[in-house]
Amino acid sequence: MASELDFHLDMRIAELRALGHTESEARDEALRRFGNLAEARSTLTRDAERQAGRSRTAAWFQDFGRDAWFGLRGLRRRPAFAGLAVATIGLGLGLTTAVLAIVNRLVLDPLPYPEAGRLAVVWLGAPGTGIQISPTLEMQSAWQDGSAGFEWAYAHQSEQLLLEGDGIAELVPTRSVSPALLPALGARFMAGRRLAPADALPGAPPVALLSWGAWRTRFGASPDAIGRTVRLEGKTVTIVGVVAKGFDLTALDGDERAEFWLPLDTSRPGQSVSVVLLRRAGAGLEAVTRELGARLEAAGQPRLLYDKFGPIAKAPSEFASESRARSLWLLTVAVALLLGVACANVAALLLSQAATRAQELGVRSALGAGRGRVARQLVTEAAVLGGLGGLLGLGLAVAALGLTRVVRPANLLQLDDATLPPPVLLVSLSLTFVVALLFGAAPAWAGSRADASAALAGRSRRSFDSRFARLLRSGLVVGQLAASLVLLSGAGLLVRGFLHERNLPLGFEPAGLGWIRLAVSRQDVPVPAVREALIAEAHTAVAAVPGIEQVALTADPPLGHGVMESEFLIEGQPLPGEPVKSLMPIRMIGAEYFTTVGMPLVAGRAPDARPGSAEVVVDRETAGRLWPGGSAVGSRIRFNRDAGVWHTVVGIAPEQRALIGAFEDAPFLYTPLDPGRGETLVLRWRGEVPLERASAAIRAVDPRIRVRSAVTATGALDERLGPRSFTMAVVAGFALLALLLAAVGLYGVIALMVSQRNYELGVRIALGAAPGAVARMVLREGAIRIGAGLLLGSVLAAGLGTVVRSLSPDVGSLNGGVWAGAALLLLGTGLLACWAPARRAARVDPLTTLRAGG
Amino acid sequence: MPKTPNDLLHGTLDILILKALTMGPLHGYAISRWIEARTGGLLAIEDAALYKALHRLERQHAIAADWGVSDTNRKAKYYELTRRGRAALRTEARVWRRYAGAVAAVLRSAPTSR
Repeated sequence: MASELDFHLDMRIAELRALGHTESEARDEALRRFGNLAEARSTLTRDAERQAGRSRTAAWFQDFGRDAWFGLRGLRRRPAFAGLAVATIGLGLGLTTAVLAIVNRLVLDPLPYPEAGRLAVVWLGAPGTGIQISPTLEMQSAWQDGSAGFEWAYAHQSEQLLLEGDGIAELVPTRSVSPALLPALGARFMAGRRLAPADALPGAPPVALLSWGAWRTRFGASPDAIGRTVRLEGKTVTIVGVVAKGFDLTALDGDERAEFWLPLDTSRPGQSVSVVLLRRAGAGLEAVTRELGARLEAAGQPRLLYDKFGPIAKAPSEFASESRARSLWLLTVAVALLLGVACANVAALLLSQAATRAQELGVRSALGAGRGRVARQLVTEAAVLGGLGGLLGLGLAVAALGLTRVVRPANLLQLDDATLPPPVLLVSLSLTFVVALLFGAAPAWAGSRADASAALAGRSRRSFDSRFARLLRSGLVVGQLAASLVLLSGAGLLVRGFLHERNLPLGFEPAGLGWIRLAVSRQDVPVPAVREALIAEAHTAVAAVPGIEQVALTADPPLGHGVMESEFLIEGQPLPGEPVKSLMPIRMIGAEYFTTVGMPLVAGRAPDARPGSAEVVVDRETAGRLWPGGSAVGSRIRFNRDAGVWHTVVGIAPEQRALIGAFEDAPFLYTPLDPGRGETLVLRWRGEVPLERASAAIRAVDPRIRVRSAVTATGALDERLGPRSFTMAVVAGFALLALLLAAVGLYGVIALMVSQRNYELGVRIALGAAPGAVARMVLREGAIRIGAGLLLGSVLAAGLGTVVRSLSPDVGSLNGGVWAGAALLLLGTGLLACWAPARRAARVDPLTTLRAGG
Repeated sequence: MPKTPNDLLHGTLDILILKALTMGPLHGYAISRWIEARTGGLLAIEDAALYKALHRLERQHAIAADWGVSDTNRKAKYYELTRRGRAALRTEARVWRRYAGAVAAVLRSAPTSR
């Protein structure tokens, strides 16, 4: 610094003056002797500033390190507080990170295929209905080579096929694909060859590719798997290649990873397939949709299936994640609320700690620490807590993701390799810091205002626990209670929706019920009569399996149905002017259906199962609606104005409205099986599940009969309801956690209040207040906060509900019952939390407190 | 080994400063007086150069500076040797002596015939 040079010059001048020079001579001489003063000054100043900067930074880091170390030691001295705080932060951050990882994997990660942004899927839809059905293979062949708007369109279909050999019979997931699909989606091949178009021709020798996983587990990754044969669905299939690790189509449709890849059987052009296409750059979905219809016409096919369903191109994620996006949105909001509640808890903890440490902080400020310094120390300690909590949270997130992988809800299958990729970790880390700052800031401010003199004087804690801190603590608790109410209401709605769905009348008894879907390929058995005979034989064989009581043949399983579109005319009722065709669910059933599924008819009898018997059964709701007078049985109906046959209603069945979905208002019919339509055997059994034995019996009849799937009714129901129950369970779990945290927070506030007002309570009791009255007073304090939380929470829930509903309309509006239930739960838990402090307040001994003084 | 005249000057000044500080901490003026005294007034260092050298040595962590109070009760910046400085002094002194010895030997030798 310049003063160093001034010192030097002054010394020199003094020395020269001592030798007899005058002041000005001495000065001149000194300056001359010095040399370039200005340059020296500037160099010194520059150096000094740089030095100061470096030492400031060093000092800052030193301070930070000291504070952090001090904070750690302080935490060790208060293990209960530290443990609780770190656990709470860890819980909040861990669950948030897990949800972030899930959202990242399912929503933000693009499809793992090249040009994924240009991929689209094709569905057949009918305007005005929400129904989507799959295109047929024939349609796909018209689209295969592309058009002006898209480069190619290929088909794929998942299926469970029976794999046999060496005494094992196992249903394995497979996919049949257009041979060109795999390379088009960027699949690489590890061994052997790819599927070629020639493999899909009728009569070509059956071949398949192995997935990498199947190659490893079933063939030990040995190179001589190529050329080996397996028996799939009775056919001897040669393995010709292996698909490289990591490729599958799960990202497109959420179905299981296939173990075997087969060429699509082109001999059955009417089969339903999933179609995926690659748009050309610049072509939008509407343009592609139009071209799909145009290409059908150009190929001589009808544009509409069933005269109603036309092709629509959609973005892949739009289809696959209708329900998934809903679940994810709900999960994100729920976890954000939970994180807020957790942070509020920790903030409240820190606040009360600051109150306890007021003496120590007072000493610090008395010794000269500025407010900023004290605040910085408190924030650093909060950061240490945050860091520890964040580490714990990471571990928790990994565990939570592992658990999700085990639970595997059906609509979240892609989670199998959800990990914690760098972006998620980065966001989680930033969250940790933000959270630490958030809950450290308020206590820091409150604590730094500690009045030094009051602290040193050792006056009662009340006098320097500022109004601000008390208000803040109460405010935090009110916020926590409000958030808990919102979460509880949300969980309640989900539970209600789930129960509603589950309790819709099934109509039949699911225990001891199951079904096996069969297929006999037209390629193997070209004659329809022979196909029917084979199915009939399978029917007989299954009925003979021990344990099976009844078997019925139907077109679709009890939880599925066919779709018929026609006009519905009732004899005796006036014809509407114009034909009004509507879509209705129809079930084609064989003999003994109602007794097999356990659905006793309400009136009348089952229809005669012989084809052409022109008898139908309607369900109760349809009967009530269409024949209000109650005269359904015996009436006649016709399906089409022109060439329809009059069918007689011979019976009324109980409703089966569960899982009907889009057809809730349509008439529901049971008709006898048309020839060749029987594909499902419905089984009722007693004792252990005989599905494997039944499948084996079917195979034993004739290898050309394929078992496509064999499930129990309860299994099928669970799979349908599974995704909903997963989201519901998780949100309910979050809600209960939040409630617990809020209760703990409330307890903390009330307990602190009681201990702070010890003196006043002692006075009250000494003056004659009954312990009950004192306890009631404490409870009232608690109730005030609970009430405020209820109010705020209800407002928030109503607001959030509108937002949520605009995004996913099937979440019901805030039902009074749900709200009341959530509010009661909150009130009860809150009052319970206040019970212990209230009891303590009632037990205050006036003698001891009065003697201790204020 | 000093290579250029600048280096030579720097090197010389650095050694002198380091040596001056072996007696204990000194402020800049005292160092300059010490050098003048020890060289019998032969080497009068330009003060600006001295302070530049001091700060250079400080950056190299050969010496450490701290503020203190002089015997005239004024605030002054005192410099002292660090361990690194002491080691540097030993090395440089050895090099200097060898260098000086070599030059002296050359100057002592008989003139070669032209």
